Amino acid sequence: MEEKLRLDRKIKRWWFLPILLLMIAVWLEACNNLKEEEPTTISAEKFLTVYTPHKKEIYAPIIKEFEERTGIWVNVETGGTSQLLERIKSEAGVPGCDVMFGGGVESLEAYKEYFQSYKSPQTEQVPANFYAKDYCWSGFSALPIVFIYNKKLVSDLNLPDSWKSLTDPCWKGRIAYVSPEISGSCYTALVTMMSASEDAEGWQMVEEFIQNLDGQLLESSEEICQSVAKGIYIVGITLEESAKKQVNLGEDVAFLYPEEGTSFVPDGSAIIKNCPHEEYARLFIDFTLSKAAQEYLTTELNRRSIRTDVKPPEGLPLLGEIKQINYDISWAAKNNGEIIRHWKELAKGSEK
Amino acid sequence: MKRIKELSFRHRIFLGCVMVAFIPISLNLIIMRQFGNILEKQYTEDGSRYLSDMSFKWEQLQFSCEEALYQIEQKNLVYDATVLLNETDSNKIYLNLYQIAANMHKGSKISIYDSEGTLCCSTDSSRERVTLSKSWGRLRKASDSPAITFYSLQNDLVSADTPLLSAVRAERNAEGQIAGYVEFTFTRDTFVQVFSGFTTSRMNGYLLDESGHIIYSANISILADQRLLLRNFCKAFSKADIIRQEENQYFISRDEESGCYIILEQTDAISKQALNAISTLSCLGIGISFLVSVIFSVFFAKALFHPVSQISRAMAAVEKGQLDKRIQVDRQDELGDLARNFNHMTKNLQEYMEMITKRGEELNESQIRLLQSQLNPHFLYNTLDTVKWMAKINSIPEIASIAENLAIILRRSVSKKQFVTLKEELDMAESYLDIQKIRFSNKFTCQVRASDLVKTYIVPKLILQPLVENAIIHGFANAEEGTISIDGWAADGILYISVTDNGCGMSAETVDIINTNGSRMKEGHLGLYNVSQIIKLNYGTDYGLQVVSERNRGTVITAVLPASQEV
Repeated sequence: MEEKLRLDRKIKRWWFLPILLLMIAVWLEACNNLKEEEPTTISAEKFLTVYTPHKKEIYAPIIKEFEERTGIWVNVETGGTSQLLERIKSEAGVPGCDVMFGGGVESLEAYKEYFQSYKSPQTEQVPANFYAKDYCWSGFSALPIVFIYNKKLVSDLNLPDSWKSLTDPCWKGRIAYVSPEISGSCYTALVTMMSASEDAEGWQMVEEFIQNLDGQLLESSEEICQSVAKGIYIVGITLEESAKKQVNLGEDVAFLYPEEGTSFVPDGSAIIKNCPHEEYARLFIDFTLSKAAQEYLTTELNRRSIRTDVKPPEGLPLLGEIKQINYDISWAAKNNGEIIRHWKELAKGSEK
Repeated sequence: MKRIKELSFRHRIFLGCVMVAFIPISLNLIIMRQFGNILEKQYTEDGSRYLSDMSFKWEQLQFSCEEALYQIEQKNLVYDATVLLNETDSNKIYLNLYQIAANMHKGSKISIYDSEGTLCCSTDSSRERVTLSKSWGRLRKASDSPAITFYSLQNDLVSADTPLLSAVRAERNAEGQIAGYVEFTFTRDTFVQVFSGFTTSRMNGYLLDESGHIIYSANISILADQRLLLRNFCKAFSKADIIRQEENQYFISRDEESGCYIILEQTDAISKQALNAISTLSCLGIGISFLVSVIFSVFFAKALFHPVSQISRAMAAVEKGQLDKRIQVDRQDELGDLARNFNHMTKNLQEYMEMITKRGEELNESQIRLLQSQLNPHFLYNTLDTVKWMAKINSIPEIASIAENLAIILRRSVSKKQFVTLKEELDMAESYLDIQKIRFSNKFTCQVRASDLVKTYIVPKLILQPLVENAIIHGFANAEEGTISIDGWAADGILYISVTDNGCGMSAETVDIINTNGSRMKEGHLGLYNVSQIIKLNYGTDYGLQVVSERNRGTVITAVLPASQEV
């Protein structure tokens, strides 16, 4: 009996050993799992997120230099202008980015409710038409609308030198243009044409222009210069910067500023409303407007600066030498839908 | 705990076996885990060491730049290149530059710019004469710093000849104005040389600039996700220098001088798939061994329990009287012994029981024979009665008295009653005394003193007669005459019956023996012993006989027993 009791006590003392071992094993396992779950989230300090529709050759050096100078790390996300603006719209309230860098200012103007106004000290050197009246956006580079033409196909005596001349039947079906529905610059060109027209609203000239297009529309604005250089089209309506690039490539093309005048609608940048890094966003806007960046823009990127104290790229006239048309950006932005609808109606009518 | 206590033996065995099975399983788990940990730790240590080696190599590259700059300074090459640049000088300058470049890492090129940022000479044949902006890019960075500044050129990594990194130092003249710039550019080849030995199938080295952009990677094609990941690691560097991401471990270090980040990517020692396979297998192994141990435990418990339950069942049968129950034993172990002992025990028990039964039968037979051989007591009474009457007729009163008293004694002693009243006992004692008086020719006198109440108390039969007999036989053995007095009284519920004689008395030894109830009763005092035993058996050891005796003065024997009128 006593023997049994002692045995029982012994068992009582040892029965928990397997359970203890099992518990140790489970504990070690748990410890290991815990270690693996270490968070790798990144601190938000000195970070700036930029959405840009610019090409890499434009944004990369600007952002690189910004990073070098400020030590702020920029996270770049690229995409089309409207795509990025829609994204900003959908992210309103909890913005995923701080700055929209690039995109025609008409587009920015249309989405201005998602932007925060900021008056950069750099705007002192910038003419008022290159930033928003309420400072919701600031310009980056000035982009006059020009006519590009193939030198081999056009005689100097009969240049397409005015908006009016584009309605001349001799260019019928030979004008490179993209539907303003697709291309922002072509929309700007359309509104510029309407502004240049002598009649009240300008639709008369537009109608004639549409008839002269003869239903020929390109798919994207990049094709305009190329197709003119290749001789597929004789004349194209494009941005000064794109035309200059073709000229610099040594193609047989030239460009001119329309006689009635042209618009200098810039592309711009804007700070997103309630963005997480507003301070850095402001620094970024300041930097894009700074003399150094604007000079780089003209010397390395062949873009026209919006600053008065920066010379235009080599071989281009000063802004003051070009006749300017009074272009109401906010009107163009506001009536975008209406104008496009009217354009489509006219285009449909001409097809018949 | 209580539950475990309540479990049956069989279940305890089962549970015990299962628990024991847990020991190797958990030990195995612990060992495996520890093994994994040690391996991982070792691997991590290796990674950290490689990383510090890489950092060292990177510092060496910086040092080689410093050294080259020193040599350029010594030979005054910046001044030569920027100011006096005619054909003969130019050859001399290039000779020096090529020599210096040859001592540097593979793929290193040296370029010298004048104070306006115009390239004067370069060992890189692909470089054209350009003017770099002093307010932008690498020259701006160098202008702002007295030391060598590193500037990532953000070129793609595919081409082996494109420079990836530029190191520029602004050379200042005595007035502190910038006289020119010396630039070193490094191509992919340079970094392949610097980081050689750290690129294996399991490791990959990265060099990133201050803003976390990749300068160099051993792996040419890097996905955007990977770039972002590495950049995030750099950003998180101040918090964690070892980061685990999926099946890779990243070791990060930052070179304070250049601001560059060096990252070592290390694939896990054991890949995730292998780890999964191992854990799946070990889980399976554990499962199977657990299952096996459970099944084994069931059989083991059954096997161990079987003989025990057999014995237990057999015992139950024996308890019910089945003494011929035997267990089949074919084991040689302790349980076999137990079963054999049980068999042996039951066999003995059976034999014993048989013996007892047989003896009982024998006893019954002898009793019957005894009863048959007994005289009919009535025949004795009648005979004694006849003797009495014949004695009376023949006027021999002594014989009549003897016969009468003998008949009384005989009747009392044969009577089946175990308890009688004290009166009856006194009557019998008187009858006995009457006979003895005749035998001893009236040599002694007798007196009885007891109240009527005391006489009604119940006492065991035949306790007084032996006391009186003892007084006569031993007290007056040699005496001429004597007196016997019998006294009965009760006090505090205890009945005292004393027999007093004035005979020769007892020896002190005998008195002692009787008073202490010694078992070794002296020959001749058997009667006293019996009386004492009867009282003690009936009423307990508190009662019995008390003797007081003195040589030649007499003896008093007192029987002490409870006073009761009921049996």
